[in-house]
Amino acid sequence: MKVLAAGLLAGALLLLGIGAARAAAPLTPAATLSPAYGAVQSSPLSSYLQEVNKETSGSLPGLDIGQVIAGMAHGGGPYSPSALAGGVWRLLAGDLLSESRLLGQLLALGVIAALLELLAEGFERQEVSRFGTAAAYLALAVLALDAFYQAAQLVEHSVGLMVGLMQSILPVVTTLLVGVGAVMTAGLFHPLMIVAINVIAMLVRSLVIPALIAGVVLDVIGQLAGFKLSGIATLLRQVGLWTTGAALTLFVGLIAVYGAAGPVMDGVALRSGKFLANTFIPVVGKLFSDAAEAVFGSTYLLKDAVGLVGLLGVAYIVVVPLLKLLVLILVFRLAAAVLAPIGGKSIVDALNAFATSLAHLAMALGAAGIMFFLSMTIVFAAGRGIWG
Amino acid sequence: MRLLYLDVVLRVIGIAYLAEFAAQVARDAGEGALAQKVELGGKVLILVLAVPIVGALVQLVLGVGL
Repeated sequence: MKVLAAGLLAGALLLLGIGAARAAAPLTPAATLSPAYGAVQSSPLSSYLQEVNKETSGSLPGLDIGQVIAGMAHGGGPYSPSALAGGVWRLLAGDLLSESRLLGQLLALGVIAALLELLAEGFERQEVSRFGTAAAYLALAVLALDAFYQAAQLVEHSVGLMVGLMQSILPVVTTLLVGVGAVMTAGLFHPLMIVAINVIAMLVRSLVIPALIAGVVLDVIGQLAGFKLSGIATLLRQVGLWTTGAALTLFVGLIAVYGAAGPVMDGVALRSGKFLANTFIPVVGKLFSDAAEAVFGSTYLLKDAVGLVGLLGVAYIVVVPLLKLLVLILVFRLAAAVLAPIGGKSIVDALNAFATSLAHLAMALGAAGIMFFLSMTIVFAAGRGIWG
Repeated sequence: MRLLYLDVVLRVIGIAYLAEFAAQVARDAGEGALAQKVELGGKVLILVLAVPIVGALVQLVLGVGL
């Protein structure tokens, strides 16, 4: 009983403090935000955003929480769509420029190999020229495999980046969720999200990408060796795709269930808390619930800014490798199309296999990006409608 | 790692064409055994030239396990 009385006293003093502060200065978002804002700015999230900004190599406008808050305070989006579109275009142009070299090399090797085949057609027996064609095919395969390998590494790297972003943003967002009063949601989200994103990252890294790489390697070697490996290669690719699809489905289901459960409980918990405060704390009870609401409301702004930064961050991380993959797919398909009328069947088949595998890689990356984006959206939307 | 083996590929193609041509000439002269030796020589030369390419491919394939 004594403890309860002491607690009530302390609470009343605290509320009086809040009330006094409220009386002294009007509650502007900036005034309420400054301590929380400072904490967010000095959290690992800020330094991580710098790392994400480095990935886009300055093509896209830099991510910064302060800037987003300023943009939202002025009632507009943080970044102009034209700046974002221009950045994406710059990235695309850079990729096109750098990958046009690969296209030229592929075409040169393909044309040379086709030349040998045409020359050798004049002879009645083609013993040695088969070796020559195989050598040219090998050189082409080395080029293409290297490009594919680099693309796969890029995808893996960006999945790692997304996990890092989530892991640095989740503590901040959960803290802010508590700050807006969504205690239940915060308690549910943190462990669930950490587990989910790590499982996704593990699946993509240690199952999908290796399966796709193994598929493409089998395809290339199978063409060279002359026995059929394309069946196994196709199976491996399917495994990669199925894994991605299953992970996406499971994840979306999980997120939907938890995303729906949290806010309801929060609403109940907070409303009863507000009612209790109003009813059982004499005189200052009403003040408490009003002040709390003001603090919660302004923390919203910060939470939304962090959520927006997270969404943009995921988009930034995904867009760089995705553009690269799209350009690479274009390069391989173009090379295959140009070489099809003149070149050997094996080279064209191999180039098409590369293009298909790259498309699957892009799908895996896109699915992972969607999952991360969705979880960010859920975090972003969590805690809404508690007071409404 | 040098990846564009253009010089190697051009050499391989020259060797392949020459060996094929020489073997054809030998066969025309009725020297089938000689033709086979020429073909064998051409294949060996191509294989020797292609060793760095094969090495690079094997390295890539083995190094792929992320």
